Amino acid sequence: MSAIVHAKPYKLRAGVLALAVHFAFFSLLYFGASWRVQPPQGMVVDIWDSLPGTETAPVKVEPPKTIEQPKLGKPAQPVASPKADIELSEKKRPQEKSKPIKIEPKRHIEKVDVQAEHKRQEKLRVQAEQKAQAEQKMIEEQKVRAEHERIRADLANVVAKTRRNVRAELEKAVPPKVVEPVKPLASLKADLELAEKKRLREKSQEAVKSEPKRQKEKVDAQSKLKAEAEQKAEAAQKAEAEQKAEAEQKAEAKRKVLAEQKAEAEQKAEAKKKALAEKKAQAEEKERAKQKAQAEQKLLAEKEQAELKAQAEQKAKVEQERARAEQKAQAEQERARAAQAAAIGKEVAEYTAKIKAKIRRNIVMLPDIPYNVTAEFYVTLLPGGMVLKAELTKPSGSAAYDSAVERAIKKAQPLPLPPDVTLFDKFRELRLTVTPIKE
Amino acid sequence: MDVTHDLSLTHDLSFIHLIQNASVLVQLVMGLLLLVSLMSWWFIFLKMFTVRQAVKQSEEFEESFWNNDDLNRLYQNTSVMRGDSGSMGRIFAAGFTEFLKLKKKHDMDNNAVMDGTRRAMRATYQREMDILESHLAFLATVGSVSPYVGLFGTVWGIMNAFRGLANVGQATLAHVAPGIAEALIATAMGLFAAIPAVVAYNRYSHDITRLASRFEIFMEEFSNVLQRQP
Repeated sequence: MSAIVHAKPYKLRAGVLALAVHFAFFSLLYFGASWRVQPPQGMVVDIWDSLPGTETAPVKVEPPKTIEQPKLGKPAQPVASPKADIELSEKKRPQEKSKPIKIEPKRHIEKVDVQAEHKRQEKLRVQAEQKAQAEQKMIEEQKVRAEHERIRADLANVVAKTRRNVRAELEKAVPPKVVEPVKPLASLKADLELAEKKRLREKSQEAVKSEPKRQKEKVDAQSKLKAEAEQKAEAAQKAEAEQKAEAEQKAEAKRKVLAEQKAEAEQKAEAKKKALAEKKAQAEEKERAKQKAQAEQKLLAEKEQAELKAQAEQKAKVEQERARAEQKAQAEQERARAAQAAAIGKEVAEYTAKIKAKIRRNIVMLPDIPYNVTAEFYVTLLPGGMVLKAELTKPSGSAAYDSAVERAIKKAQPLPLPPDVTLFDKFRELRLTVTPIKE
Repeated sequence: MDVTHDLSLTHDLSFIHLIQNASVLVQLVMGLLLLVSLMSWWFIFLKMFTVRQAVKQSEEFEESFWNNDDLNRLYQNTSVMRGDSGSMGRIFAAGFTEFLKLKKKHDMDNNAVMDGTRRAMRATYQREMDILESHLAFLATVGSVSPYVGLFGTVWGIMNAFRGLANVGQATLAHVAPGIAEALIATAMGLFAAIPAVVAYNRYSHDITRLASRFEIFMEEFSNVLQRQP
């Protein structure tokens, strides 16, 4: 109770400390993270350095100026971090402008700035001049272009004019050409007439030329007639021959047909004979097959009978053997049982004798007791040989002997028992006849 | 200038930017872990002071107990000091008051008196132990659970990072890296909360068990001293 009260000042202190630890951790993390941000700036400087070096060499006039402006502005930024400054300046060594920065960084920055401004102004002037020159050039070029264009336009006009003139001239020149074809119409008619005349002349000439041809043709016709007659005769002869050949062919065909018919008839007869023979053969085969089948069936039946007989015999034999085996087994079992019973009996007899002997050993004989007495006790045993109960069933007649035996039974514990536990049932209840002397 | 600006943007992976860019769930996880870490550190310092004080006070009390023959005067001192006597002093005071009360009843058996005083001392001892062991369970829980909470935040963040990557045709490390860095902050915070908590838990539980055994020994010795009293 008071401990809680006591812990109160500690609570505040603990809270403050916890906050302090967290603040420290997060500030560490923050600066750890931001430390990594700075090196990339160094990398940036590297990239910057490389750019102007490559660009200044090939292009002398305009492009470096635009890039040099940020470069000159840059040295003002890294003043906070002198290391970066030195790096910068070292990397700028190849450039002549930044040499003073390398030696005395802080003081000369202003001078550098002034110099830079001068340079800038100069450059700007140069730029302006160049621009002006360029503009002049441009203007001149434009003028030249304009002149060229004018010249072109003039040329085009000239060309157009010339074309127009030419067209006009052509148009003027065309009408007489159109008039000219009128004259040939008359001349064409004349031509046509001339052509007709020529044709007629030619026809006549041809006719004159074709007269011998006609004579020749007449001769040819006569010869042709002769040839035709000859041809006719030949045709008649040919027809006769053909008729004869046809007749012969027909006769031959008839003969052939007859022969074929005969052959067919013969074939049919043969086929019939063959069929009959085949039928007979088949019938015979069938009969044979039937006989065979019957024979086989008979054989099979005989075989089956034989097998059945054999099986029956085997069964009988097996049964007999079984019976014999069973008899033997029974006999053996009986023998074994007998042997066991004998063994058990032997053991029981042995151990009852042992028990009796042990009891007898423990009897303390008094002088008055005669040696020919027997007492019978009914003893109940526990497993392990301890005596649960010992009752006198047949007194010996001598009370001293009876009591002595009872004491001896109790003294003889544990009574000897066979090591086989299953035999204990035979010893659970014992009827012992005890005599002073061994029987 | 443009080039530098771009580079500074892409390379600005500072702690605050990363936390700002993280998804809402990851931010929640981070906030929870920050709270848990603050509380665990608070308990760590609180326990450190209280345990140190308890050890110091019990040492002082034991010294004064064994050097002082007169128990009555010691009892008066402790009861006057009350708060500053420490746990052991309070146990002694509780036992001695009970002993005196029972002794006034003349019919009481000596054994019964001793039993009564022992019971009283045990009750005070249990109360003191309860106070000393308070918040230790919290430290144990933080130590075992906060890494998993941080890991959950990280897994979520990385899942988002990869999902964003699926939308980009050509995947580069630059697309994934910020997302993974954001996510990993959650794990870092979880570990930051867990490691001190586990160390503190083990340290203080050890210290407190030592104190407890010391109290028990003192109780036995003191009851022996009381039994010898007439």
